[in-house]
Amino acid sequence: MNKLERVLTALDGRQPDRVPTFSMLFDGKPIDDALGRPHPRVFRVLEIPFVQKLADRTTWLWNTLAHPNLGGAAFFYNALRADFKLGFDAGLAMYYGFRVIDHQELRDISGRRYQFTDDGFGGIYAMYKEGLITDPGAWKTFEKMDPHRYARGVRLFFSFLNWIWGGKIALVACVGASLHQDITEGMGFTNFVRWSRKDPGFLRDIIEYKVELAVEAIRAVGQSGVKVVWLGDDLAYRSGPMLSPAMLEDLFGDGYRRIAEAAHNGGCRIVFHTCGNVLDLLTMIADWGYDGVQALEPTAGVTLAEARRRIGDRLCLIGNVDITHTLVDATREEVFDEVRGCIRDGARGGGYIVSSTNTHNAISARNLRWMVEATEEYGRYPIDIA
Amino acid sequence: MGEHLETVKKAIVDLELEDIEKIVSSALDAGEEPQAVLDAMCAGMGSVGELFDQGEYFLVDLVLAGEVMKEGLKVLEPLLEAESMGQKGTVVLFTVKGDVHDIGKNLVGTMLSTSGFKVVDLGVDVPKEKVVDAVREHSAQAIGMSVLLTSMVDSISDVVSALSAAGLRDGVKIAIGGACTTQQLADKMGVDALGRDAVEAVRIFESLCGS
Ligand code: B1M
Repeated sequence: MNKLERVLTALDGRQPDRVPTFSMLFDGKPIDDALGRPHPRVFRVLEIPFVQKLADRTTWLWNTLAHPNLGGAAFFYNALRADFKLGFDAGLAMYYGFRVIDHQELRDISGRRYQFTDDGFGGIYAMYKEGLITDPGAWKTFEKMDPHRYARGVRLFFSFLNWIWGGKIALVACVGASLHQDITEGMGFTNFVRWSRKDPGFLRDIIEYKVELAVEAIRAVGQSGVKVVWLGDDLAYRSGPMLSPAMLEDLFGDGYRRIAEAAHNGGCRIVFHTCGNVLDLLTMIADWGYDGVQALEPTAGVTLAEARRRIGDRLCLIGNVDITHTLVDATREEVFDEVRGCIRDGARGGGYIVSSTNTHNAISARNLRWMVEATEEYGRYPIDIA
Repeated sequence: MGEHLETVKKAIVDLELEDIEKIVSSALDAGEEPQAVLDAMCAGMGSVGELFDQGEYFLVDLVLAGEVMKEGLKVLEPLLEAESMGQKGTVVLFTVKGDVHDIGKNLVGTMLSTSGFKVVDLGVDVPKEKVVDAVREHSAQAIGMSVLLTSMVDSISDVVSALSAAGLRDGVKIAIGGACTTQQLADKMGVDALGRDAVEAVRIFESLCGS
């Protein structure tokens, strides 16, 4: 089996030759470490007043250089190179619409405001600060991205990456447009909660716009030849779902269904990424038509055995490898033990992919490699782990 | 509890964001004491907490209940004795340097302020210097730190050291909370308590501030 076949077989809930591995890497430090190159300590340059002034006067240049089809494509070209070097079967690439405002600030197409900070290792990190679409007035004047224009960018981005990486790794496409997460962060969670009570119609307007954007963009992914779509949309926290299942279904259910349908109509499988304790939402995610669910955070109390017990073979389970210790500073033996446990509990009969639950800059490239090696050691079918 | 106070309590439990001001005003017009109205609201909040524990209410309902409390307090605040607002002590609350997760912190802040604490919310990604300044300026009795990222846990000890260096550590109690915190971490970082959720956070600060 090649990598793509292995991944698609698992996503279909069937048994490939070996449990596949998926990389969610999009943070600069582990990518640079995996590629064996220094992580550029450029943030301090941004602290020089002259550079700040210069940057403020040349934002058009930064917006050109950092455009998803230029800087973004170059970044994910390298992220996929790192995934490939580490031996992953599948790797994530994200198309993301944003605009640099000045040397301090970035805004995205969902109304999030970010601030440039040190990534903890001297590099630059865009840190989420707040949402700008705080009320219907702000939504009215908010400059909305045209879904067709956005989709053109998405098509170009993934066609390029697929042309380069297509045969070497299974590309997983994120189109930078989700529902619950984009909306709650684009207005702030408290505002979202207030509007859900005061004027759900306002929320429905935004949701409809986001669904159209996501559907067009996902259609473009299908046209680019990429076969797997990843929707990053946190619905839970460590104690369970943030919204009641009824509210989730009422506000977002139709949108999530249309997004899944768009992926399937374009010949793609679609994976739902959500952090937190999602056990109570698994059935719903399967009902919406998703092929897999990714993250399955052990620190939020999710075990693969319980997830499997609840959902059977209706969803491919992806993740459950811890990012607080295991993929940060654990020993080789600890990483092997954890991956072994994941495969034992999640992989029997197929429908499981090994991956981290999320990514951050303190994740170690060395530990990711161990995770891949452990999967190669324990993940051959038939699984034989006591 | 009389009929008007029952209505106030029920409005909190039913998350009546639009009507709470009216309901609180009616209770006052009917002759209820401001403090009694506040107590009824707090009782409502207690029931919300129970419904949350029973799995009837979700995070979104808890946050909404906090917002309803805030709206009700807008009417009550000018009428309550200055001491009964913030009487339980002053808490400086923030999410640590390098971390922007604020949903939990905001919820803790709402619960504390609606339970009688004065809350100085410094926001997210807060440097230690700002904490020291705020503790000094507001003569705070306690600090609440929200931490969700394992990579940022050292920010906790940075704050503890900065407070010691400023000679303020002995006069202030410190509690932490958030997705990546454990009792082991609290012990290691030299803080006084760990809060697992917003309801527990209130109890902890009550005991830390000696109320
Ligand atoms: C004494 O004082 C006290 C007392 C009690 C206190 C207290 C203080 N603070 C909290 N409490 C307690 O009371 C509250 C009420 O019950 C509770 O608060 P909580 O904050 O726990 O709960 C809130 C009510 C709801 N919970 C939340 O809001 C957090 C939910 C999850 C899904 C989450 C979210 C939503 C987000 N995230 Co992020 N996020 C995750 C979270 C998963 C999880 N398991 O929690 C977590 C925390 N995130 C993580 C990561 C990795 C990241 N996130 C990031 C970003 C984000 C969003 C911006 C997308 C968003 C935050 C939006 C916002 N405005 O806050 C990035 C970091 C950004 C940064 N620098 O901070 C990024 C690095 C991802 C990336 N590569 O970009 C993980 C951290 C892992 C780790 N241990 O280090 C994570 C556990 C998810 C995972 N899959 O593992 C209690 O803990």
